Order: sequence, then structure tokens, then C-alpha cells
Amino acid sequence: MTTTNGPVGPSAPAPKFEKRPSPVRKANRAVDERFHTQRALRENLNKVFPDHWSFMIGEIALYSFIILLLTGIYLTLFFDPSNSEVVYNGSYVPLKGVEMSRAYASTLDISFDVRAGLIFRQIHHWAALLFVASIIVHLFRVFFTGAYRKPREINWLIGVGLLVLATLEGFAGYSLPDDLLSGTGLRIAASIAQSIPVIGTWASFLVFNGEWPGANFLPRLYVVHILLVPGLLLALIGAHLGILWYQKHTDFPGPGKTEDNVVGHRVFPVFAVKSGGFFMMVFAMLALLGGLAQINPIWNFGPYDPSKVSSASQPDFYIGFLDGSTRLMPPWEFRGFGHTIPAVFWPTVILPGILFTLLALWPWIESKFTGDRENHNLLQRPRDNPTRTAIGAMSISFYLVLLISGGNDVIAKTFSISLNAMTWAGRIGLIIVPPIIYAVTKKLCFALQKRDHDLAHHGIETGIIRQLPSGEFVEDHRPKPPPVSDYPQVPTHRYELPPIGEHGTGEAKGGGLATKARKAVTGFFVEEKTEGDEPAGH
Amino acid sequence: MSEHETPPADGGSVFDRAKRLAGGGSGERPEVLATPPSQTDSTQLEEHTAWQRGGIAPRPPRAEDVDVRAQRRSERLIALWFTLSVLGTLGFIVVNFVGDKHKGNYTPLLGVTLGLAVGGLGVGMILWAKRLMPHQHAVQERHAFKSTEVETAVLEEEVALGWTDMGLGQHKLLRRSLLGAGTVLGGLLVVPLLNLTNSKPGKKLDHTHWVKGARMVTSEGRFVKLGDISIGGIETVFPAIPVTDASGKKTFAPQLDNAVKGDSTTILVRLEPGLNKPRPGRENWDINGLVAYSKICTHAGCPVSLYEQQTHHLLCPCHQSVFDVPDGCRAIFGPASRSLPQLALGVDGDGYLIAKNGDYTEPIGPAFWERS
Amino acid sequence: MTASHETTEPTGAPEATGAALGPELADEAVTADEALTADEALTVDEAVTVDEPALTVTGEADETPAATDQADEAAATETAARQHPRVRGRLVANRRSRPVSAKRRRRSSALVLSLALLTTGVLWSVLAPSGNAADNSQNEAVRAGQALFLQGCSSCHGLNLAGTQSGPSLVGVGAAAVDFQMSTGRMPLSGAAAQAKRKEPSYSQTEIDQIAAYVQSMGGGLEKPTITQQELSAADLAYGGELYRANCAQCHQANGQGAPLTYGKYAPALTKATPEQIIEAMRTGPESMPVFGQGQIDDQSAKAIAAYIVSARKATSPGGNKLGAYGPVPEGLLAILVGIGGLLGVCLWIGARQKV
Repeated sequence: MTTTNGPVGPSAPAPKFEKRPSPVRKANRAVDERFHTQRALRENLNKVFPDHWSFMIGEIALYSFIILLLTGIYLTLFFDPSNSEVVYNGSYVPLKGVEMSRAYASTLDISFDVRAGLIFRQIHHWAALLFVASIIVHLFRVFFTGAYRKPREINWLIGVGLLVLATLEGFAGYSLPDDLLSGTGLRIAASIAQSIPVIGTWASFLVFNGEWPGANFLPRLYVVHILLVPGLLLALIGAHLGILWYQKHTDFPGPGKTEDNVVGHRVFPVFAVKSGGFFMMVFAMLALLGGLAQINPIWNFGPYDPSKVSSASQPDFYIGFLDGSTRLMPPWEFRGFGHTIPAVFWPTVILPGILFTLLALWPWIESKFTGDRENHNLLQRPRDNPTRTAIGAMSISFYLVLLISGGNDVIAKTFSISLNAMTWAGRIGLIIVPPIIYAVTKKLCFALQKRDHDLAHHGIETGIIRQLPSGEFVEDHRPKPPPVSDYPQVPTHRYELPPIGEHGTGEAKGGGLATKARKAVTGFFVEEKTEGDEPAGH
Repeated sequence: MSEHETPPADGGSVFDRAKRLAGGGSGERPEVLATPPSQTDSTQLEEHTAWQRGGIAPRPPRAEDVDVRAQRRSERLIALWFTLSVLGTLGFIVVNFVGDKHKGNYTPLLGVTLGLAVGGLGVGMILWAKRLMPHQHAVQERHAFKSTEVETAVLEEEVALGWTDMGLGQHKLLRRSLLGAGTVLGGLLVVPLLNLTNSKPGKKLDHTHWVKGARMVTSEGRFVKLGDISIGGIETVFPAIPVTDASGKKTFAPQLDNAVKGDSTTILVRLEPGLNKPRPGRENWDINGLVAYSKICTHAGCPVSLYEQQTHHLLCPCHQSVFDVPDGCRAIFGPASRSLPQLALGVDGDGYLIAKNGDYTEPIGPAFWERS
Repeated sequence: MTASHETTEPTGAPEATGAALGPELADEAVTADEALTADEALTVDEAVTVDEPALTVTGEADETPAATDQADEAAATETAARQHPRVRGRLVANRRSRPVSAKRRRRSSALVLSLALLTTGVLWSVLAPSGNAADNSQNEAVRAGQALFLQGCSSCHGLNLAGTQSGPSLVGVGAAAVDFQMSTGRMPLSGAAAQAKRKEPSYSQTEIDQIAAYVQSMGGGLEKPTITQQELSAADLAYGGELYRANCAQCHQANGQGAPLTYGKYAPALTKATPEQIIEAMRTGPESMPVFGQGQIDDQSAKAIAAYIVSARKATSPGGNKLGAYGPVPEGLLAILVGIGGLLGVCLWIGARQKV
């Protein structure tokens, strides 16, 4: 009655297919009879993913997103996105009797009167920060290795879209509780919308339903935050992963790796288990942050009031660069012919517009300048493309000057620097730091290239000096050892099953269907027993 | 390693091979003398550009692959982590239900137990994959994406035929009217967006809720008299609209909701007498050094509220615009380009401060396209 | 707190209120019902003993009008005595039963007058307040304060508080301002800077109180506020919080962590301020801080604000470590450095080549 259900390995007994298949096999066949799944499952379970550590950064973003969805659902069960004024009567004493919106009051309830409310609220907020931060780091990895080149430009475009959406989603999310800090941010957003020429006042009135603070704005923001943008995010993430899945992941050059193959682990079982484990680690990091590090204590800020403000009012870090650009912008307002273009239009609308457009179009810009129209599946190390790397470093330095200027009052207070000096330092730094970084990075890349060249052609410097008969001194070099692959490799193509009847690539005897299947499968491994290649015994 | 080479007897190291090539037998240092540099130059050896060549050197085995005890040790370690995970889960459940959510350690304990619960699982799974699972890489072929010429040609033909069948190429009127209808219909998308508000901008941004004779009231509902604010002090005030009820009695209704605060927030600053330098035409807008300005920053709308008593500057905390109060709140630093609008101050019969001339004479707050 | 004061109260006298020379009369001159008639002078000065220190008669010890009053009263009582022999001038009437010559009357009047003046003078020098209206121990404090001031403060603030080129005048600043500046250690100034920094006070609280008493005596001003623990616990925290966010948060930050002002000045963090210092700062407006007077924030409101600040900084943060309570900047730093950094470390661990 029992059937073996063990893994199909060289030492496992032959499973008996014909009699009483296990529940898993039964289910498999049931689904197959309805959907023709076997080939698709084989393709996908055997898909190979390269396993460089930097390829997991995008997974941080993916897993943070999943945790955002889960914790977000929990929060929606308690949050009331209403602008109606109520008098607070919960358990937080310093706000008892204070008038506030239902949104703020329900957030206080979540924080103080719902079991595990505060931890999930904090995990949700930390996950948002981690989501955007990991997208940005992932973007850096993709950019500096040239992974966005043909045929992956569309995926890059989707990625930039995801970055913009994630940023907007985060802004909407932390503005929902209607506290003083985020309300100030919304006010600035309304002023920014208003500053757009020709349509600005209309844009602001339409979005906020009237003159600031608008009427019943929070329910709209809520719908955007829990339905519209998450829907778009899900769709785009699905497309992003689907394209990546279909086109296969890029990889660094290395032993055995070519433009025409992928070397790594198959999805099932190793990659799945590693990724699953990594998901748990991301979750653990968020759980620890959510429990041990307080974030956005809205009870200290009080409900939003247009006549009140706190110093050190920053947006979350991913909007910080816009706060910086706004602070640094000189007061250049254009007035004429009965109209005004306010100064705040340039640093908050035009600048991010240009930055994100350049970012989105970068694959095509680069391809136009380099004339490169080929498909690339192998990555480049940053040093191998100095111009791209230098431009990237320059852009990052530009972004960082803006980001730091966004917190210039915090820095001024912490390090006792004059606030005015910080503003001027930012203004000047924005102009002179990027070109310096460009030049330095480019030189660095060339220096690293030269080092690689020297290593490849002369070997490693030993430090041993000897004198030639002619009197000249030379240094001995020893050859660089050949690169070692991460894992022993099995260079066999998997998709073609050996025809039934012929011997498989293994040495098994017998000819039943099971045996043939086993031969076909096990033949893919351990063909040449290279050193250290014994599979884990059971 | 190229396939045709066999590993040498004295060791597979390339260095040894180099020495052999160099002709040295014993491999000792003195033989290097009188050896031309190229003999130690490893460009002679083909392994050197192995970065692109894909040569594979053998790796020593993983402990778990050869030693059953190492396997069992790893297994026990992984099981330990999974057990810790279980403990974490149980801990989370206990703290969630039994813990006092008003205590300071409630959330940290939940975080630590949850972290242990998922982290234990995570560490265990990673160790499992790294130590116990098959330690091999697989290789998969990539296929070119470009379809065959034949297929491309066939598809293009099919689409061209379909296009001809549609007749759009042939029937110009059809094509153009379809294009027109489609574009216009697409523009319909704008209509629901324009329905988002009933409140058209119009002249709304040009006015606030201040009216002539409105009293100045604080957020606690107190009407303000001149002497209430000390020299060097500031106070935030809102309008209290004069209301005459049926019996003819006049009262003042404080307007303190956010809609009013959004544009009518005003800051009173008591300067030392004689310090204020009024703008032309505003000589009687202040009272004994008490001036009233819109608190809403002309840059991006934050309340400008950091008053430096000694320099008489108002600093906005959002983007650090600075306004000079005695000089009509002129913007002297930072991104703001307009001074704060001033409100004319008066005193009514009962001694309370009022908006003598009514509303501000220019739009308050951040600028916009229609602002001249 | 009444003076032991036995005097044969002249009945029927206009101000025979019989009031003891208690504190409520402290600001009056020696009242006329103690008028020193020739006879009563002798009875009064043995009877009046002033034995409590609170007895002060501030500045208006203007004895000239008093003496004149007393002389008038003396004359009036004589007239009254003649008119109402039974009432005041009973003794006089008894003694003066037969008419006297004008010359004798003039001589006796002069004698009475001079005796009255003499006694008045003697009594005044004993009873009347000294120049700064302090009693003995208050005098002590002021004197000690003056000595300390001259030693440590006068080089910048002038010998008589009028100020010098290095320091402003302190006339009229009041004890509250002195207590704030010195108990927070801002004064004496440690060095030239954009703003005086809080540091360990250089004087003990007693010395500070003495200097404060001295400065208060030299021009008045706001007295040091008092706030008890009971008042702190009973204060309305919600009200204090609302006021804090309306008036204080823009400079001192929602969590009391402070913020920069222009050109190196700053609004300090409130983590170390005592409730008294908080109220003193509000009332006196030190350096860049505006003045929040009584007309704007009354005492109860000021105490509510102080109570809110104290309670907020003592409160445990329910969500874990406060991260400096300075808003999104430290939060973002932690997310990037620890969150992303830590997870990158995990990536390196997962992707690491298998060790031997």
C-alpha cells in the first residue's frame, strides 16, 4: 500500500508509477489533464538563476512589497480615512479631549488600542522605507553593470516606473494619518501643484477638491493608496518579473559563462529554498526594526493644523532630494504680463521631471552614443565602462547633495553649523561636486582597468626584486591563478529528454518507464565525477 | 584547464608549470638569475586570460558532501534554528494576547519574537540550502530572441493581409473619421478628472476669510487686546467675523476650522516702538509697534513662525526662508521671493484688535500662474 | 503675625481703628492714631514693639508729611480735647484746670512740638524701613548677591548693572531672568559664540538666588516663578500639548529636541530644562526667544506647557528606541544603513562561495 515518495536520486529505489500514486502525483496529473502543465512546469522548475549576491537586491524590494501588502491589509481593517472632526477619547492621555480628524484618531487607536497595532504599523512604515531604498540600490546595481542594455530596456523602463510609483505610494501612505508632519508635506505638495504654469491652480483644486486644505481629501488619498497604486504596482511588478523570467537573468562573466548560457542554480529546489530563506530574513529585519525602532510617532506631532508646524519637518528620505532642491533654489520668480511662474516650480516639477526622464530613457541614450545594438546577457563590471560609471557616480553625487540638503537643518543643529552656511554649501556643492566626482570616477575606472590588464598580462607582483645581468632591476611576477568557479558545473542541456528506448546518459540498467525517467533525470548530473562532486548522500 | 592537458605529477599548479617551462629543474630561487623577464611573464601561459576562457579549476569538496558527521552537525544546527523559530512564534502569540499593550515593552517584545520566528526559519532555510542541498551549478542555454526570418516574413504578411481586409488603407474617409472618433473618445478620459471638484479656482486664491472689522481671535477663542502681547512677543490669530443677530446684538464668531486656518492665519509681532519701517501707504497699519502679517509662507505655504526676537527675523522651518519684520516682512534669504502680505491693524471700541481695512490687499501664500 | 502692640488707643480719634501695626498697614506711614501727643508719646513708645520681620514699610516712609500730620493731629487733639473734655483730652483737661498765660502756652506748645519731633525722629530711625526695603535676612541675600555680582558679573554688566560694551544693562530684568540664565549655566558666558550655550552652572543655587535678589532689588522685574510637583501632576497635559504645538513646536520641535535658527543661533533642546526654567524662559524671552507674557499665556497655561514638556520627555516611547526623536532623517538613515546594509550582508552570506 505504501509507495515511496522520496527524491529521485541515484540511490533511491525506483518509484512505482503504475500503482497508487501519492497525493502529490495525483494532483499533478489532475491538473495536467485540465491544463497541460507538464512542459511548463518542467521549464519553470528547472530554470537556472545565477547566484551572485548582488542579484538578490531586487528580491529585497519584492519581499518588502509583499510585507507591505500583508501589513497594509491589517491596517485597513482598523483605519478610518475620514476628515470628520472628532474628540479623542482613547488611551493616550496627552491627546485626550483634543479635536482631530477620524483618520488621526483611528491611527492613534491602532497605535495604542489595537493588539499588535503599533508593531504592524511600524513594520509597514519601515517596509516602505526599505522598499524604496532597495529599489534604488537595485537600480544602482542594474545601472553600473549594464543590465539594462538590449534586450532588457523595457524592463528598465518598468523599473523606473516602479520607483516613481513606490515613491508616490510612500508619500500617500504616510500622509494618511493626517498628522502635523505629513499634513505640512501635503500643503507643500498643493503649493507645488499650484505652481505649475497655466494649469496649476486647476491641478491643485482638482486633486484636493478645492482651495487648501480642500474638502474630504483623505478618502481620495486612501483609494489611491490602497487600490490604484498597489494595483499598478502589482501589475508592473508582475510584468517586471515575467520579463526577467522569460529573458533569463543576466550574469557576470566568469568560468564557463558565455553570452549563450546561464550558469547557476535551478529554481527547484535550491533557488527556491534560498529565496524563501531570504524572504524570511527580510521579514525578520523588518520585524526587528518594527519592534525596536520607533518610526513616525504621530502622537508627538498632534493633528494637522494649517497654522502650526514643527521644526525638523522632513519628508521620508525618498522625497528628501526634492526637499533639498526646494531649499537650495534661489528665489527666482518670473513675473510678467499679468502672470507668475513661482520659484518653487523649477526644483519640484522641472528638476525631477528631467531627472526621471533621463533615467527612464538612459538605455536608449547610451545605445545611441555607443552605437551598441547587440543583445547582451553578460554584465560588465563598472570599471569596464568608465563613462557610464562616471556618469552614474556623478548623478549619485548630485542626488546625494540634494538629499543631504533636504536635512540641512538637522545637520546644522547636530553639528552646530550655521543654517545659512549649509544652504550656500548645498547651492555651491550642487554645481561643483558632480563634475569633480565624474572626473575622479573616470580616472579610478581607468586605473582599475590598467590594474586588471597588468594582472592579466604580467601576473601578480611578488615583491621580489632581482637584478638582471645588464644591471636593470625587475620585479618578479607570478601568474594569476585561474579563476575558480563557485560550484562544480554540469554542462549539460536539460531540455531534451533522451528518446525512449535508447540508453540515457547514465549507466542504469533496465527499461521500464520509471527507469528511463530516472536515467533521463540523473544523467544530467554527475556525468564526469570531477573532484569533490559527490552529491550529498542520504 | 584545457581538456587535453593532464595534471602534472608534481602538482597541478600553474606556477610549477611555469618553472618547468623556464627550464628550471629544482625550482629554487637562484635559477631565476639570468632568466629573461619574459620567462616569468605569465602572458606566455594561456590560463592567464582565463577570465574569458571559462577554464574550471577543481574545488575541494564541501564538508557535508564527504563527511556524514558534518552532515548531521549541519542538520542539527538547522533544526536548532527551526526550533528557535517555533519559540519565537509561540512567544509572539503569548505576548500578543497576554501582554499589556500599554506597557513600553509590548511592541519591542512583539518585534523580537516575530523576528525570531521568521528569522529562525530564514537562517535555517539558508543553511539548509548552502550546506545540505546539492552543491552544483546547472547550465542552461539561452536562446536567441530573434525569430526566424521565415516567421517574421509570414507574420508581416498576415498582418498586411489583415490590414487590407480591414480596408482602412483603401477607405480614407473611414480611416480619418475613425481616427477622429478614437482621439476624441480618448479625450473623454479628462472629463471624470475635471469632475473631481465643484470648487473652481476663480478668484478664490485672491481672498482670505478676513473681513472689515473682524476681530483677532486666538485658537483658544480669546480676543486679543493690544497690551496682551509683550514687546518682543508674537501671537497667532484668526478672524472672528462680526455677526449681528435678530435682536441687533453684535457678536464676533471665531472662525477656527482648518478651511479658515488654511488661508487666514495671521501672526502678530510686537516690535519695539519706532522700529517698524512701514511701506508707503501702510503708515497706519501698525499700532505702537504691533504689526500683523500673513503667517503663510509665500514660498510653499508652511506657517512662518520662528521669530528671532533680537534680529526681528521670521524664519520658516520648511525651506529656511527668512523675512525681515520691520521691513514689511521682506524675504531676505532662502527660496521665498515675496514678502509676507501685511494686514492693517485697528482697534475697535472695546479695545480689541481688528482688521481695520478688511482682507489682505494681495493674495497670501504661495504664488500661482494667475497672480500678477 | 500681629505686632504686640499695646497702646492706649485714643478713643474717638478719627482713625482710631485700633489696627495693630500689622502687615496690611505696612505701606502706610505710622498712622495718625498713633499720633504722638505730648503725653501719649510717653506711653506709646514703651508699648510699641515690632517683633516680626515681615513688617515692612516700603519706601513711602515719608516722615515729613507724617510729622506734619502728627503735629496737626496733635493740634487737632488739643482742640478736640478742649471741645470734648471727656474724650481725648481727659488728662489734659485734668491737668490744665486753670487758665495759663499766652506766653506760658507758647512755651509749652514749643516744648510739646519739639518733644514730638524728637520722639518722631527717634521712633522713625528705629521703625522706618532702610533704603532697599529689605529686612535683615533679605538684606543678607542682597548683600551677598551684590558681592558676587561685583566679583563675577560686573566686568560685563557694569558696576551698577547699567551695562558695558560687553554686556547689556540688567536694570529691570528681574530675578526670573537671572535665575534662568545662571541656573542653565548660560551666564557667565564661556566665550564668544552666536548664542550662549547651556552648560553646568558656575554658581550654586543659593548664590544664584542671592544674585537674583540683588538684581531684583536694583530695578525690579519679574520674580522667579514657582511651580510645585502637585501642580505639575495636576496640569492638563492635553491643553499644555496644544499650547506647546501652537507656540513652541516651531522652534523647539515637536519632541522638544530643538532646531537651528539663522546664522548659528538655535532654539535649544528642552531635555534638561526644569519647569521653573521653562516658565522663566517663556516670560523673559532670552536671546532670540520671543516673550510670552501673562496677557498671552497666563500662569496656568504656562504651567500646563511646562508639565507637558516634562511629561513628554519622561514618557517611554511605545514603539521602541526613539532614534533621537528627530523625525524622518534619523529614521531614513537607519533604514538605509541598518536595514539595507544588514540585508546586503545577508545577501553576501547567501551568495558566498562555499568555504572549504
